[in-house]
Amino acid sequence: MPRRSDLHRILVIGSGPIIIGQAAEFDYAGTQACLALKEEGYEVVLVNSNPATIMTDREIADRVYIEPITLEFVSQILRRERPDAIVPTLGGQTGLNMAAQLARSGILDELGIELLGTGLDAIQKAEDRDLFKQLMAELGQPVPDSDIVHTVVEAVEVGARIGYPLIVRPAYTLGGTGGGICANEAELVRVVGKGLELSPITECLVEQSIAGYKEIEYEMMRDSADNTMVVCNMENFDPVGVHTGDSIVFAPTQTLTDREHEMLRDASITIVRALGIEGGCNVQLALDPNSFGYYVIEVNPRVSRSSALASKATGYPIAKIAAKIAVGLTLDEIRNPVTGTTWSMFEPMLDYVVAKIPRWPFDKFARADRRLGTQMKATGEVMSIGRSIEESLLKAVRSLEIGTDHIFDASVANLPDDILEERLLHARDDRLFCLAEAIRRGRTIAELHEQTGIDLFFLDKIAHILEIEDRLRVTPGDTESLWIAKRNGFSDSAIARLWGRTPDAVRQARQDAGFRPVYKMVDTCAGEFASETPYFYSSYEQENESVRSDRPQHPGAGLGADPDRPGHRVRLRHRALGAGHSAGRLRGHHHELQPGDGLHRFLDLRQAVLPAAHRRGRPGRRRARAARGGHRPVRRPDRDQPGRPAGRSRSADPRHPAGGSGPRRGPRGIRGAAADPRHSAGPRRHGPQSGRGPRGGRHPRLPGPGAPLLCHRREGDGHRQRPP
Amino acid sequence: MTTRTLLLADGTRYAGEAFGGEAEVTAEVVFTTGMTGYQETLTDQSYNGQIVAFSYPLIGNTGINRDDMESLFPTTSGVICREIPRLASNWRNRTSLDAFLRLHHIPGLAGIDTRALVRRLRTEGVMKGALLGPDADLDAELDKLRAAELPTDQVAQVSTRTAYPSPLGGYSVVLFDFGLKHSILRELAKRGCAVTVVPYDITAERVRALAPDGIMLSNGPGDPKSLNGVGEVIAELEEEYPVFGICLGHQLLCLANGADTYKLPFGHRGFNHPVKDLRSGRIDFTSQNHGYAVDPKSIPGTELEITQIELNDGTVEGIVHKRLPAMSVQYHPDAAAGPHDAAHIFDDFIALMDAARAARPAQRDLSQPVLARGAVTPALMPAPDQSALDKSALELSATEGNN
Repeated sequence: MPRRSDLHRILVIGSGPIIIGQAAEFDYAGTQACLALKEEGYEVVLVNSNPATIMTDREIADRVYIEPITLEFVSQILRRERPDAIVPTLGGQTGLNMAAQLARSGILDELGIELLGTGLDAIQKAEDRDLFKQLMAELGQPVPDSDIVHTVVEAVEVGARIGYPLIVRPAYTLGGTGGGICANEAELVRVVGKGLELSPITECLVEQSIAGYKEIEYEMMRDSADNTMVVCNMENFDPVGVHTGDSIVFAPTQTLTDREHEMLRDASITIVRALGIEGGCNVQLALDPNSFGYYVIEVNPRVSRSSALASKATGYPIAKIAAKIAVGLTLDEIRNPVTGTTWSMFEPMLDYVVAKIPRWPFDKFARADRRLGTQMKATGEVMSIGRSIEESLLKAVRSLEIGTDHIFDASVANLPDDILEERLLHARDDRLFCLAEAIRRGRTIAELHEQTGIDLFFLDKIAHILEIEDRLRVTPGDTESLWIAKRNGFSDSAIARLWGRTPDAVRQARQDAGFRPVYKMVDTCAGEFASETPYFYSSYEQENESVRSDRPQHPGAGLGADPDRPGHRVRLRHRALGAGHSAGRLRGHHHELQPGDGLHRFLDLRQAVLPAAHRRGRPGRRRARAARGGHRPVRRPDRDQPGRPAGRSRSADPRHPAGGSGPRRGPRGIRGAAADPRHSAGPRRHGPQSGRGPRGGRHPRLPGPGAPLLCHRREGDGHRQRPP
Repeated sequence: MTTRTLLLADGTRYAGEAFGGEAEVTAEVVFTTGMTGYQETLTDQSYNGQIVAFSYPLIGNTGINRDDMESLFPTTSGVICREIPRLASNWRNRTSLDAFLRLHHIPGLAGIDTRALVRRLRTEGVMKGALLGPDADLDAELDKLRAAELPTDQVAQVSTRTAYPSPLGGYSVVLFDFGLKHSILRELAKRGCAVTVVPYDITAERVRALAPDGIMLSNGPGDPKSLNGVGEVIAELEEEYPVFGICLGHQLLCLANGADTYKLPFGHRGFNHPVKDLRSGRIDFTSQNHGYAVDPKSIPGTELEITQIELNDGTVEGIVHKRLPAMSVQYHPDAAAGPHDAAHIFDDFIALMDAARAARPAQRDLSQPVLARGAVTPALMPAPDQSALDKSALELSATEGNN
């Protein structure tokens, strides 16, 4: 179907302030949606209360309302603007909830406004615990068995029916307090007894435990003509039990045979078709590491955090395509903007490995419980691309900005054995470093696999990195060792420490040997078609694909703000983006950035570079605050202990966690997340520190609830926003 | 670590680490973009006489298992990838890729910039190449490589020498083996077909002796035009039986009906090729592995009609015969490896056989399964009574033993 010509003006609902448990993905999705709709010739009206995003810049939408996303304000805007339709599925839960409220209030019917994209009924089916369970039963798709109990006797009956181990989640307790895994009836009686006592409504959810399963995700697209495809699949490093937002993730899957992959792909397609998704959708599955058995964990019927990751991992612009699907286009009518020669009905093929590592805010919240479980605690994430697991993992570690350039953490290295052991059992944000330290202390990967459930394949990659370390230590200056280390993603500075030399000496040795990184293109098709989009990553290989631009502009490079964290937020990205956007297109290189972030789009996909950096950013200075990516290179108070990762030493005592339901809490409640907030696996976006208001005192003031402020700002206004 | 070099006919050299078998080989170098399913790919006989380069860098992660073989003995000439893992991990893993390739004397090359190789093959087209050991004189080898004539009898190499039956089912299908993948047998078995696999050079008369409900033409390696005589057999049989062709079988069906084929510059090899059915608008992601294609310009003037195309480059992916119950697809609806989206094409074949049966109900008792037998012991027609069937089954096993 061609684009709908009966629509002219479309309202996009943004996601409001960014909160803990997000990684700015809705900011990215909404911005992409606005641009895509404008590209198709629609007039775009945007409502969003967040001034610190590029989304509320004048270039993104035709009309921008910086207003609270509440029924009252959005209704007012609808009456004033009289849009033909609303796109609700790209602004995260905020946008969806708002659309549902508007529909209930009757104003959409009154004004004849249509909701585009995936229907509200489909969304409800995916998010309502019981409806979802029922749908999966109809489709023959397995979900973990569960039941709600109010007495210990009921719990024992449920236990006998489902079988052990079981997870108990008391309703309405903070951070899952009182819950836990029960291996037998005696434990169940004890935990449920305590859980019912703690639950203000005397209720617990008893759920089959699938902790230890492989957690696999499929990012799907479907259009109104039932064309359905997989954009990307991903495999969690941590097995089920750690929230996927808190897990290291690799794309594509690494330890699945084609038979397993196709089985899960078939399941995802069946679900997405049955729900009637029109746009993007994320399906999370748990796969038994020892059989073909699997469970459907969760379906997110909209563009989500993992869509942002999948977009950047593959080059396939999910949010943009989803917006075009919403206005009636089908996947075989939309060009693949990356190749320019193929269509969007195309499952991307990768010829690299993508690693995502979450960024947690524990350096800012020193007393927070750092143990990971079913509730997402990360506030951002970094993604990196390499030609091997080792390379992408080490590059991602360097992007984290936690004061280390390698899988070595001094604070972990000093831990007594028993505490290290404890941290291996109960995953924390520093799990990767603890695993490396355990192997350094002589633990075998088989033991660690037994203890953590992490696949041997991944553990062996860590062991490989450590073996290269050992080799470097005994061969200082050796060219072959250097090459092996660089191919596997070691930084010059890490090599320097192992060699006992300075980073400059290593760099010199590297240059003398002729070892320089080349840039490889992310083209969605593994080189099968020629591509137009200059989106690159570096690697130590033979062929360089990035050719120097012959355009006459001054060369310059934009630097981003890297992972989001509290006190930082999206405004840095906004500045970088705004600058890049207005500077037009130039060529440069950029990689290793937060995937859920519009900056990528501009700096990688469009290679924007800003002359402004030369005017304001002290050209020529080696570590200039180039571009407008914020104060990245500037020394911060929390970095005043060189060599010591910020905040790591101030951790809460792991033996006295503030919350959490015990070790490896198992899967999040299958529908619990969205549908049943009484249970501890409550809405993931409402993290322990979540709040709705703008954080800190740095926000420009929001407009008061007076007359709608039509925000036709002048070009460049955004660029004057500077941190105080 | 032993070194090994890939030498391409254009003179390009890629030096890396050797794994797998020891042999030095000369073959056509092709690339596939599939990220999973290397075991199925390497055991796919369509890769006979080819060195397969994987664009995905990590190959061998899940090892080799017993169930995912697409043929009994792989005949791929060589394997190229960026990295093979030190440790393979999957619950079905039985042996490593390295050990498997050593067992079958297939040389492997790792550690090279496979993306550079893929880009070269994409821009220059597939070409001859040689995998050579550390002591090879590359200049002399280049002259030899350029002069080398690659074999054109790949189908003869991989096809079965004698016919053999697979267990009984409701439909009797004669499957021409041009290098068939086991997944075709699996898909037919799933749909209740008793399959008799026959050699590629079987005569029409002997096929007739099997009294099939339908005929399938399998996938296979090489240039369809190098198979002399097969076209005539197909042209004769399609007048009498429903015919369904896959991959090479598709090309042969088209050639038999007067269409032409040509060589693609770098082929279609991967699992993400979108194919659009022009009749329904439906798009399936398909598993593909072909270096030749049917020329759409040669279709008008024949009795064929193009029904499916590849969405990106518009190549012919499926045809039907306008007068006869014959159809074929260029891709692998049997997948393995690859997406299962197009498996419904097999149902279309079953429907063709049902329709043919309905049109000829008097010929024999259709409720009785037909035992495949005639190819080895011809004669025995028409369908005999049950005791004769049992007897012929015994004869069959005896004759097989003699072969």
